[in-house]
Amino acid sequence: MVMRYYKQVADGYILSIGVGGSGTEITETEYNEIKSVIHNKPQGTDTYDYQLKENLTWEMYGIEPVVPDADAEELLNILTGESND
Amino acid sequence: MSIATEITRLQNAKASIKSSIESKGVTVPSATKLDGYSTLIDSIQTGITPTGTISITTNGIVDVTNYASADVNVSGGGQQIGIQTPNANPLAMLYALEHGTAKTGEFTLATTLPNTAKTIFDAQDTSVKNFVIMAEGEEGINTGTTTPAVYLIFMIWLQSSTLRQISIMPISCRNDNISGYLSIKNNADISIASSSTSLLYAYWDWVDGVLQVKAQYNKHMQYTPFKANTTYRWVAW
Repeated sequence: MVMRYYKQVADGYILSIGVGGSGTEITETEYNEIKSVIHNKPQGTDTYDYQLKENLTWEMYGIEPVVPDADAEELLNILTGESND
Repeated sequence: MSIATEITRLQNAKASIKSSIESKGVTVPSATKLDGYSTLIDSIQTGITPTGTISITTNGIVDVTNYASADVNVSGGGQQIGIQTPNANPLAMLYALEHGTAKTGEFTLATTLPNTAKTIFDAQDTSVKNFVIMAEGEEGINTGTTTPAVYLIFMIWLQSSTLRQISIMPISCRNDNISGYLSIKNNADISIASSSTSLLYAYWDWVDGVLQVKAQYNKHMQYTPFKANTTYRWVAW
């Protein structure tokens, strides 16, 4: 069975790599190279993280607050472990 | 009423009888005289005596007209379990894997999922309706003695176009290492709340064999169902 390796790129950044039918096909060598870089991803924090550019360098980006698309009751249920069914 | 008229009536009646006999599958030779019609009428098949046994090994509509009995032995395809349709239970996944009809793959995220919907995997088969995602990990982390384990992250299957059922089953997890639980907000949303300090929360969409996930990641809480630098494996069927 021939394995199809791919990378998924968005806006100049590599979102993911994988095996299957998604994204842009790459060679196994390139797949392993990217995977090795991912394994050495710099550790982020609560306020910033790193994203992988297509040239396989890491770029820091700030994490902005996002208001979840849920009402207060749903968020409280998540925090307290209640079901939102 | 003239004789000629009566002859015409008899000729028409004979032609009508000939047509009726032929409609029953018996050929009426053109030279057949009226007194030969009774023999032809007697030859019309009036019924079938069923004989023998027909063997039925596949699902579907089968013509059993000529058989006295039917030997039905349909194997495979799964059995209905509870309220699940045959294709919508985990046993069907094993069946699809064994018969080579399941789609499989793996993915590794380079970074945290963004706050916009991104394709996680594309099974490239619009007929697949169900999937599971698994990850390799370890159990016994809290006890200090770890062993490799495979975790079933979550499973989604469709029973209809409007109802989606979700299940999360951490396999090989100890009670002190359960990763959390999952609750359904509505047909298109999932939320995963962890028992540890992190909080996972995401929106997903599963259409035509393509899984898309939109994370909610901010400085207050981590909202993403998948970790970067972790390889997940998926099976869709």
